[in-house]
Amino acid sequence: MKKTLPHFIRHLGVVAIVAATALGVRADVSMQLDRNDISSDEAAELTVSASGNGSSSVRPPVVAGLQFTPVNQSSQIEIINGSVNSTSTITYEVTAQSPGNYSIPDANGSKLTLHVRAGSGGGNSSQFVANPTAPASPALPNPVIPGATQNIPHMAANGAAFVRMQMPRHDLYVGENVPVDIQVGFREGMAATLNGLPTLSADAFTLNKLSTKPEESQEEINGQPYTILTWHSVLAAVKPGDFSLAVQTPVTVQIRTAPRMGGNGSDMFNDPFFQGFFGRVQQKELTLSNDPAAIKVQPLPIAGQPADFSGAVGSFTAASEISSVTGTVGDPLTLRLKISGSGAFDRVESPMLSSANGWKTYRSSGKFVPADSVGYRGEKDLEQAIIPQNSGHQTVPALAFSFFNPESRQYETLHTAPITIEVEPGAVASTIPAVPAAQPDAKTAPAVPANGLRPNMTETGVAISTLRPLFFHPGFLAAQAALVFSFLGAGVWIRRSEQSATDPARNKRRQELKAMNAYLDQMDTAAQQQDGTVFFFSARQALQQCLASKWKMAPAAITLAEIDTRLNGEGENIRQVFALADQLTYSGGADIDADFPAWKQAVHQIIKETL
Amino acid sequence: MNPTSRFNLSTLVVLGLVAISTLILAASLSSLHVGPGSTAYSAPTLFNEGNAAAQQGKTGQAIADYERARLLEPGNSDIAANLQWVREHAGISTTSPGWLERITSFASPNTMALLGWMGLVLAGAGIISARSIARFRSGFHLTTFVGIILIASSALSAAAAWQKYNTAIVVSSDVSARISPVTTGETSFKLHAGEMVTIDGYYNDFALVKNSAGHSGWVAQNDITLLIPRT
Repeated sequence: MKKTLPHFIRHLGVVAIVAATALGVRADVSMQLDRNDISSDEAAELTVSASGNGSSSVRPPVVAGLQFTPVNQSSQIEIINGSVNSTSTITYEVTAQSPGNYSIPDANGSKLTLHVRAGSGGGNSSQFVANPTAPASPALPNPVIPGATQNIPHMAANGAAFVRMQMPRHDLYVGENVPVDIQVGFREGMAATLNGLPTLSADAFTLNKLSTKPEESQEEINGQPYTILTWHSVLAAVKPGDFSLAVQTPVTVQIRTAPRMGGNGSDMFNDPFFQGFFGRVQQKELTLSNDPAAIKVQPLPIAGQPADFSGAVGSFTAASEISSVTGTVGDPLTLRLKISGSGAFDRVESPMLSSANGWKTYRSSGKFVPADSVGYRGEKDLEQAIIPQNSGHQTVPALAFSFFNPESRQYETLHTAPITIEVEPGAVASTIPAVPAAQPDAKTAPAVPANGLRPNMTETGVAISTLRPLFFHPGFLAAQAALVFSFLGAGVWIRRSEQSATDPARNKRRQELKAMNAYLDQMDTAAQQQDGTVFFFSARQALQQCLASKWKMAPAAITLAEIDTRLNGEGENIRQVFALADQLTYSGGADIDADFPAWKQAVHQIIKETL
Repeated sequence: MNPTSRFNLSTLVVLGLVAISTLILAASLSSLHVGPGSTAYSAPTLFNEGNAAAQQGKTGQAIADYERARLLEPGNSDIAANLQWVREHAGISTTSPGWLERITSFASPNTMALLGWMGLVLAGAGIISARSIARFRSGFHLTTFVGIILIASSALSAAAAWQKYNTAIVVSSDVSARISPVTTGETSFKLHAGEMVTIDGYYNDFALVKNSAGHSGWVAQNDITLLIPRT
């Protein structure tokens, strides 16, 4: 029973406020902070009071970096002479994500200021860290929470919160910078905390460092008031290809579950005010994401690229000036090249004046002065010390600067006007200390942006399909092995050839075979000429050489007796050749009627079988 | 066989075999060609991706990208500068490179591999020609010497590449190196994003790694990335 009365009063208050709402009575809203200075470990209390009809519009303010958690609610109803006056008060615990000065707007247009000092925990309250495993890299720009958004539902742009990115073009070149506006919107009354800065979904682009204090504005979308946080930045294309690009922002939102109230009053309790009273507050981590946009990034054309192109992509103008139009031989002058416009200034470089006749030149240096908050527009001043070597009417040659213009889609080279200087003879030679002189092709020192990283490269380079070194490719190893085996084989073959050439036995056999072939040729010739004496004489000599090689004997030792002994009665053709040769020799070359082709074939056959 | 004919034949044989080896090498090089849909690696692209990762606070991935870019262009000062910058800002000590890395840093491993192949051709042709042709023997000896120098340089580069072949980079922060390859294993020591480790083995989803201090432990494979991807 003790809890029944407060519940009854609360219900009564609700009914009274709804009734007052129907009468069109306005609500007065006031806010009060219990203190204006806290550390990031502490919480302040914000009391929001609404009186009169419309008190249902009491909602926590939306301030980037601040979290409002309702801790107490009360309401008071007064009915005097039939006039209903309700007052509701909600107390919020205010905690900050990081140290800084925060402004909390109220409904009257004024602002409450809350100064948050760094706490003992280093300024980051752990309750806002969505992913405790996020890398601790405070020195790096754009800290994000990797992996935290993997399995978190995304909210659409037409919901209570959204993120969107506005960019001028979707057709870019590698190295091109384009200004972008990233906006995160929260419908008024929504309690939300940003858990990090917006990040890009594709690694083919980089975003300049985003401010932790975005612009804040109000916008009405589909009749609903929204608080819009806007970051101005510059998007740079890193590599060529077709990409889909989206922006993601991790947030923690407070979702109030509807109270379980049945009956006819259910519609009435859909009002946020009542849900604020009777609903349960749940914190939920979400990732806001927009619909991906198709972005085409093209490589810079190779054709027509000037030799002095340093990778600058944008639209620029150039002008040169000198510190004085009069000078003295040996005294340094400062030559300036001013390049202004819009684009990737981190790649704006120029060799300036190099190895000009009559001028001693030094290495140039550059300084960029942005004309906007994101460094997209501005002027880069390149300075170079030059020393006239000759007196009289001298001319500083025109300076050149080349860049790629994405609008005209072609390379452009700007030339400044030559500068004329009157140089007086110096009393002594140059006393400039030995500063390293610029090389003929010397460029300005690489620009180092504020975050310390050298800028992106604009060339695409030679692309390969794998980083695995050739050493570990089977094909390369096979090529090496083929070479090794081929050279080893060739070496062995040459060595054997050399050994063969110096072996006496091999030489003897080679000479025997050579002699045999000579006799065979002689025999063949005699067969054609039907010269029996020469034919059989040559045939016997060829057979002697052949058999001597086989039996390891001197050819002269191959006689009919030796043949009979070794062949045991076989080799009739051999014996006949020897007998006919002897007969013709001893007969003094008498004519013989022989079938020369048959004999010739027989001799060749014997030699073939013997060898 | 007289020396002249021997020279002619050996020259033809050697030239033929060199041609075969060249064809095999060309086929091997064609495998590096980037086909449609396949991953393309180039030093500028990896460098730019490293910049993007660094700007998003992904220290480990940034260092991996820069190290991979350095594999392709070892002498690029921009890559070295950004790698050093990210390491310094992540609090990772930058140790001076070893003698092997220093003497092989003037060219990429692929370039050194091709130079080694060329050295093999020069040395082999020089040796064989010196045996066959007496007239230009001193010139062939010089060719052989140059070839051997190239082979030796290539071998050193291969040794350095082999070290990197088993190197991985920690991409997650505060990675627990455990005494056993299970998620409940006791933590032996911690690894920070961007640290380089040597892989000594694998077991299921874990890899046995050794850090620069010589400590070994099992880490989840998802927490590291190979310096030289196997694909």
